[in-house]
Amino acid sequence: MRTLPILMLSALLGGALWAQEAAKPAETKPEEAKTEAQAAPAAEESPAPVAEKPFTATIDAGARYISGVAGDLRTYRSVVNLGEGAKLFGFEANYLNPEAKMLNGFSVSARNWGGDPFSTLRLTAENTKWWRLSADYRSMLYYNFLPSFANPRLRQPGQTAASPGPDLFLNQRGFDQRRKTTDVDLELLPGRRIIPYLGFSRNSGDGTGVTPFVAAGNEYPVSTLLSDEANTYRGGVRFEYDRFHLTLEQGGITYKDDQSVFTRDRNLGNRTTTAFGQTLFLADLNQAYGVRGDSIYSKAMATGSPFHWLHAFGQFLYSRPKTDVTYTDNARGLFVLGATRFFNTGQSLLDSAANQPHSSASGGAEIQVGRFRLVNSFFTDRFHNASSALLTETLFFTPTLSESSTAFTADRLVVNNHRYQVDGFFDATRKLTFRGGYRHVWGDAAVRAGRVNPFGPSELGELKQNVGIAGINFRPLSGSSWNAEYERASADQVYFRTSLSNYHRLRVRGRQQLHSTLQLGFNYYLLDNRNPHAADSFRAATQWKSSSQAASLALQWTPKAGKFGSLIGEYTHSKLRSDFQYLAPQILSAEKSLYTEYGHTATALLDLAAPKSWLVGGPHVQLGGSFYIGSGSRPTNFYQPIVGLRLPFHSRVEWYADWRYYGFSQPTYLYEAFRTHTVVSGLRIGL
Amino acid sequence: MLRNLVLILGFVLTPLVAQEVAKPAAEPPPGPDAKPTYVNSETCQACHEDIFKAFAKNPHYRLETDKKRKWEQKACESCHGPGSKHSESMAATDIIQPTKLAPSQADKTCLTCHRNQPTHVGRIDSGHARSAIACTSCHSVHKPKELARHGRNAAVNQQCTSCHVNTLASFQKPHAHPLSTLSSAGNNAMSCLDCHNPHGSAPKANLKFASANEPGCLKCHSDKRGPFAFEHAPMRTEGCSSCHEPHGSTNPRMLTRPEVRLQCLECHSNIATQQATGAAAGGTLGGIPPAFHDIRSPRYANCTSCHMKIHGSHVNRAFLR
Repeated sequence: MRTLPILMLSALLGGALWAQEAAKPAETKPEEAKTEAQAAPAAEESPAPVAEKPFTATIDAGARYISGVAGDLRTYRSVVNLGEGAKLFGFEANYLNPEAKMLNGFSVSARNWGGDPFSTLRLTAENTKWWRLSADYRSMLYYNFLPSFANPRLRQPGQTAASPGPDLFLNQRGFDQRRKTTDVDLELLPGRRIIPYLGFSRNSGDGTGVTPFVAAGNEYPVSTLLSDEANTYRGGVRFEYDRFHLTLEQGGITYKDDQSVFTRDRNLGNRTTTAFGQTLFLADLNQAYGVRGDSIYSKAMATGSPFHWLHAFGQFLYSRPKTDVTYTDNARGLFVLGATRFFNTGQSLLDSAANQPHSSASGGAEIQVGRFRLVNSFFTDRFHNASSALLTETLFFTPTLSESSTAFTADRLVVNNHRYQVDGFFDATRKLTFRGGYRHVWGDAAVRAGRVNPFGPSELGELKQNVGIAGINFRPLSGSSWNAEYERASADQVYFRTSLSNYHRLRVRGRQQLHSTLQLGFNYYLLDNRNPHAADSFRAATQWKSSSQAASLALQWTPKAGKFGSLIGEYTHSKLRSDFQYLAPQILSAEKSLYTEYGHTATALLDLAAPKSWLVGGPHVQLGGSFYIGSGSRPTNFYQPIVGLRLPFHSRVEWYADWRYYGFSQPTYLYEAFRTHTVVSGLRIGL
Repeated sequence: MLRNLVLILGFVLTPLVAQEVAKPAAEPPPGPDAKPTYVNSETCQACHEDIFKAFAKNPHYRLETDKKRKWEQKACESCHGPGSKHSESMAATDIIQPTKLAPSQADKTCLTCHRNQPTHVGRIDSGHARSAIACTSCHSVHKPKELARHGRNAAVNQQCTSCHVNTLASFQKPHAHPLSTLSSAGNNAMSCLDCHNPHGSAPKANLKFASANEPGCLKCHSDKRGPFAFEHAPMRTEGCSSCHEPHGSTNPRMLTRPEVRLQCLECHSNIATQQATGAAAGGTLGGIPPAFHDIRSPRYANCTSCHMKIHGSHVNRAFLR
């Protein structure tokens, strides 16, 4: 409610300015009309706007009012999460002066400050001769606590979808974090042959969450504190010459992740039955996860054009991340070990380390002979993870009777992936290009399987896949382009049941300028995948198959060069169907899982502009929004209509307001629905 | 539906394709007496003053004074070719217009200067290059950088989704990354360029790497980076998209399935395939029964309630802590 005065003030200020503008004498209008009439043909002839001032800026500030959230607030916060109050919706400042000696240009852009979930700040500055600086900062609120995640059918007997019961049986994983990302890059001597550069990136997160503590015989949802950060430092040099380029970069990362739990609340956990007449519980818990890591990495990238018909590139990337971890927990309560041994206190102490050298390389060459081009490329990725952990556990059965055990485990993960592709292109005419290609993908992996015996041998997987590719690009008329690409793959072996195996994929994209004011776009996508390797030798029907299709139509209409408004709209119809069998773990009976999703998505915005003579710039009314209506395994309706109004009172001042509605429902999980209205009002001022 | 689509496209495109194929392959070469020479940018400015003024605020204007590229005083002609004939005849046909050329030819003009730059490492491996999408499809060479109403991210996303319309549709689903779209008030934190390099990259789908060759997702989700003492193999072999739909999903946490147990059981199907038992090649990983929980019980239906460190654990091989 505290935003109401701001909204009213904004509206009053806007109204006053409007009245002031409307009260101006009418005799100025013929001059304006004449100027416009003179300017219009020039604008039509010129494809580019004329910008004269070295410094330009706009500030866009106002307030958002939210009617209140009807329905589930946790879902609203997980999906939309906009807050109310005064906001700086945008600030842009640009300065450009190529003749200046010290600073040839800078730009600052800030978006959504004042408590919004996603705030950004971007800065660039340069002296074209000596240096160029860019910095980017984002602060993102990551809230996720959907009640249905990820077991929406969990209910106690007698409860309904509308009243699912206590949270105990709902989501026990939630986050309320703010993640911040910073990137700073400084380039020296931009535009020269040899360009040194330095960079720094930081990604961090802080917040709280809910997580289960898994103890012997039961698991207890508890609140947790989360804090992590990764800092990346890099420096390198680029050599840019007419016929070749080389970039060498060296970087390093420091990383830490702290998670801790401290609770003294008695917690009965998820177990609903007693263990030999005893009710298990957690009385207090002190758990700390401390991860410290670092990495060095190296990059070498090169491109070269030794002849006019040959262009090549290559890159080598190497990183070696490693972590050292200390983990402790101290839990008090009543726990059960095996079938009948009860203990009151459990303590764990772990030290682990992991080392992960990872090298990648790619390269390719393009050979052009007349209208024919041949493109070869390869990619190889080798990834080895070696780790060890030493865990000491002490269980106190009575204050004086305890048992300690120490376990040392070592693990290994090896993945080698490779890809080779060759494509031929033929420019049959200026408007028509044919393409044919072949891709071979292969690799091997040694992984620790999720098996009953954790000390069993590794599983070995292989990947062998051949893909044929055909394509056509056709540009029949100016402003129109059609592109179609078809892939057909056959795999001897793949890693997982869900991997792309024997598939065919078709993509068609088209853009057609029907009129100088009307453009249509068309998309079609089809993917059909079957994995015969998912079957065992007894059940041929257990193969996994999936298919997805999406067809889209887009329209952009700007009559009279947008003088009276414009219309943009997109519509997509999508279908997804996945069908696989598995054996239920409890009795190993064959069960079938069918996942379907049929969606209709539309986005549209109709912008109606009144003649400029009404006001200085002409008011705009905007109607539109988007919706997603889906059926299938998880029916979903998500509506986001918008109505907006823009009133420019002055060439540099504009008042705007928009109303948005957010309506979300999933009929199967009614308790997650929400709806809300938001009203935004603000002023955009150009300086 | 597919059959109808193919039929419609066939009817529309076949005559046009046939017409194109029947045309002579190359444009007639200009006569020897018409060989144009370079004038300079001042000559261009005389007629195209408004374009030139705007161009002065474009990064390409640097060519006017840049000794490195050797186009001093000839910035316009660096892309449009020698302009003497055009300056005399004023005919549009007497000057090179990159937007009217075949994509490979138009790109050649741009790549004369831009090919040997780090941005274009892997360009020929990209979907855009393979689909003959010219540089000028996305880049406006003359215009200065404008103050986009909803910021840079919105401008980038509008550019990308003008072709990738079905991808835009995915972002309208309730659980999606905060990409700036028409309906995403305040959610303009990300652009397509945060994850993709449209010029090309080594991973598929033009995905970006983070810190040399780590998955690009880790740039923001650095808490999932590891390396873990106990890795969950699909994270490393197939990437995050083996479980998540990064463009948007109707399922919580952008998962590809609405319930976690189904997500897990797709791979951990309890079907011991041939490869997993070591008998012969041809099977898949992860099929050996991981456990014998009764997943009909609410307590066991959400696998990640216990296997909470599902992205990888430093403590427990079964991802329990």
